[in-house]
Amino acid sequence: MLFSSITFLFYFLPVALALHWALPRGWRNGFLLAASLFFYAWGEPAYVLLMGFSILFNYLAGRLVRGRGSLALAVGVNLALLGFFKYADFVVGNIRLLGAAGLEGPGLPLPIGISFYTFQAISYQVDAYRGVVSGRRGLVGFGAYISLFPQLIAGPIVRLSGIEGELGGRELSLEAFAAGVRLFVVGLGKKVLLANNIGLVWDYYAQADAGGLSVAGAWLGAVAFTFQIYFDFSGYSDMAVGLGRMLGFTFPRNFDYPYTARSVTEFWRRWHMSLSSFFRDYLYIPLGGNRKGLAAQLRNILCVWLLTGLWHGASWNFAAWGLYFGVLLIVEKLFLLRLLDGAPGWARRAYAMLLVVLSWVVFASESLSGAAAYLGAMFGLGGGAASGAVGTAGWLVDGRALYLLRSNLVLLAILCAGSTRLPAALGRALAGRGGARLGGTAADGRGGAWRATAGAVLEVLWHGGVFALSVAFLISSSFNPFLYFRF
Amino acid sequence: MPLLGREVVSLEGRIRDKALAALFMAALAGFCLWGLLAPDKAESATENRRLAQAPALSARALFSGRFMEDFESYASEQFPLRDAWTGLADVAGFAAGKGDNGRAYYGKEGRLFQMDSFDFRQLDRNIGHINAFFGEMSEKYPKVRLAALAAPSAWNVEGALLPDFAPVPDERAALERMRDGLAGGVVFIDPSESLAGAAAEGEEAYFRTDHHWTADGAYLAYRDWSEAMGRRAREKESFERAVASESFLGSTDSKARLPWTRPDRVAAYFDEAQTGAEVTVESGAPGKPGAPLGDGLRQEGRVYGLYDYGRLSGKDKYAFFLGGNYPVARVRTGAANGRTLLVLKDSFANCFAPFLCGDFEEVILVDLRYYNGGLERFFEEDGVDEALALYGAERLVNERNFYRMRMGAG
Repeated sequence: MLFSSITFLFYFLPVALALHWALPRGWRNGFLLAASLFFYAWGEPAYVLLMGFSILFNYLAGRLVRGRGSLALAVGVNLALLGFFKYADFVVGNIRLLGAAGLEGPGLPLPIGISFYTFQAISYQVDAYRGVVSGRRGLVGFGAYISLFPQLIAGPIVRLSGIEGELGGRELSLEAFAAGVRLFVVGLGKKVLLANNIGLVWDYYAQADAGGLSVAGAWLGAVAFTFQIYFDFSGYSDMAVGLGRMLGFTFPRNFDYPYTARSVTEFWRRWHMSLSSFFRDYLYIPLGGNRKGLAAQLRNILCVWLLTGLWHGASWNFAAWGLYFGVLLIVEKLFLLRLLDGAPGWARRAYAMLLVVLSWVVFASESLSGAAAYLGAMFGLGGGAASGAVGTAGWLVDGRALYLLRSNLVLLAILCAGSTRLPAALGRALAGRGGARLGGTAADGRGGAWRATAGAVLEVLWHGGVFALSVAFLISSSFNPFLYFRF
Repeated sequence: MPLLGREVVSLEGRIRDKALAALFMAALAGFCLWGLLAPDKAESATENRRLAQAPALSARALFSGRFMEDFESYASEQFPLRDAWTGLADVAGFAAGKGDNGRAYYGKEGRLFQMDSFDFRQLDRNIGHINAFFGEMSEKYPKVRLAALAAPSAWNVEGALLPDFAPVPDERAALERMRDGLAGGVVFIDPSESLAGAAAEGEEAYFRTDHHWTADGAYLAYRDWSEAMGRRAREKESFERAVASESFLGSTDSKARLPWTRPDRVAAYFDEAQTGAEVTVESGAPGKPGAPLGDGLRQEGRVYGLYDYGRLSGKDKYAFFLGGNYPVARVRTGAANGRTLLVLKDSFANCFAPFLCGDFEEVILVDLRYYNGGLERFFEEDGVDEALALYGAERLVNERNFYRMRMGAG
């Protein structure tokens, strides 16, 4: 079930929230487990059994893990499941290319969310071994942790240590619920209003023949996907964190304005933070991190980034995308960051964004050759024959690119602004919450009370408006893609 | 004082949180209950299409995930106030400067245009089908002439009213390709210039909210076709123009629902020859009496007029002309000249047909989307004197039923 669906918003969610609120405290985890399994089965009616197995296995393993050997076995089984369902066809396909024609892959569709919940299970096994979390716990609570529907299919990757207390017994408060509503509604708007609409632009360029694109068209497409993936993914994360808060959980933040980063290193401190920190804590540091000399550290970085790439999908373009960042991070670490230090902020941001936009082309392409052709078109090797050249400079600009730019100018401006802290700060100021208080307080006297009321009305109107518009676009448009089906 | 301030703020904050939480839950639960309690609709009049119905629950549908997909379509299409939601999305998109909503272009001066794409390989196949039919026909009936008349797309004729830079297919190239590809004996008529000229002078050759031409536009095509066939077209002045409806919101309005869209006028041209014209419809297939025909409401075995005034109270007022599309529609006119015209057509012919009443005693309109019985019987039984293929240019390019354009039955 997708968050951005009528079924979820108007059937599953009201029932789930109301029952979770109304049920006695001791029943809540059991209800959450049942609701989460229903949520998963709605989209994966067969693979819900696989999830059931994963829960049972990891529950038992968590109780039994004592030494390194049994930990390796528990982690190994999780990786084997992931390997079989996600990577077997890829591996077999490559072996066949090397000449083993008779070999057949399993040819199974990828279970949605398997990469997220398997990583949660692995983090649990390691944390139980390290004694960070207790291995002694109830099956119901553990099952609810692995299958928790808010972060099940698109993250963030939540560690048990982060929500252990809340799983044991959580206070439901009006304040947390309202905060969750705010996050959820804004996340829904990011996904449905912003990501889906700019995604239509990328959708055209993704299907077009890269050989015929003009330079402007190819760049517009790449920028469109850059915005689509960020607002879609961070929108999903916002919705997950918001739903968590409504249910009494505090999930980690997954994005921290990554497009304002001033280096690639900083970008990755702000992008999909729960994944980066997973690889840091459960791979990079165990491999030795930076403690065993420069050569070992560089090897560790490349290893982490190759796997980070492949985590996003079993295909060479994802491997290349990961290694691209691995190399960039090494170069920045070795000398580039020091050089960049003296540069003005705008130049550093432009540098980081340029490299990020180019990376998304590799990420979004079906294959390495497709990525190469698209990158070629961005640098003038396309030709612009595909869609009505403008004047003699058809390789540079074409009619469709001008149309799509004109048609999405306001949206692009909103996306640019939305990538910065500006809207959140403005919202806080107008609504009279948090640090800056344009809204004032009742203690400021009559004017202050009036402004506080106005702020409250504005805030409710804003969230109501975003929600209503999102519902309108969900009902009106059939374009509502799920971008993480390869994760 | 600060202490008091904080308390007041937190009280105000609580009210605010309560309002937000209550509204959110009320919206979710309210629309959930409303959707569950309101009776399902079979079709949407505004969108002119059937709506998804509650999917049947079965183990197979559940396990394959089919049930869940169908449930989402059902929940979305039966959502309370569906038309208001789609209208809200259109207004928001328009306000944000979007040029289209994926279904229609928001044109200038309140004009809405259908978004089309052309399949040029299908065009080549269609040219082949027309040529093959022409070969078959002229072998047996060498005196019968065949004309192909393309009704240009509205966005071609009124291209200046498209949003700036809006990408549209190259219709001129498609029609040139058809002109070049058609066999020597087929007369090809492209009335684009006449229509564009009239549109430039302010005449409404096309509806603003529908993809069809108006009767005014159809008359110009009638004139071009008559000239090409060496016939004198009946003068426009010999008809009486009358407005049948002033509240037509057509097919492109169904695709883009902007509340300020002004409705179109539906006008028709009447003349003597039309009085007493009788229209009958046939399925063209044996053994199906009473079965619904085409997309219309008329029945086999009854006699109708050229115009269907009942359709003026529905959404699709273009069906005023001939009452919609039927496998076979026969028009027996008041002209006693013994001449019979066979028209292979789509809906563009419906508002074209009334102009023919003075020129032919019988006009047989065959819609190949609904008819697959072979065309020879019309030549044998009805003595066809002349044939015309009249299609919207987009259909001439994309239509996949032209293989049915043949003498023998399938």
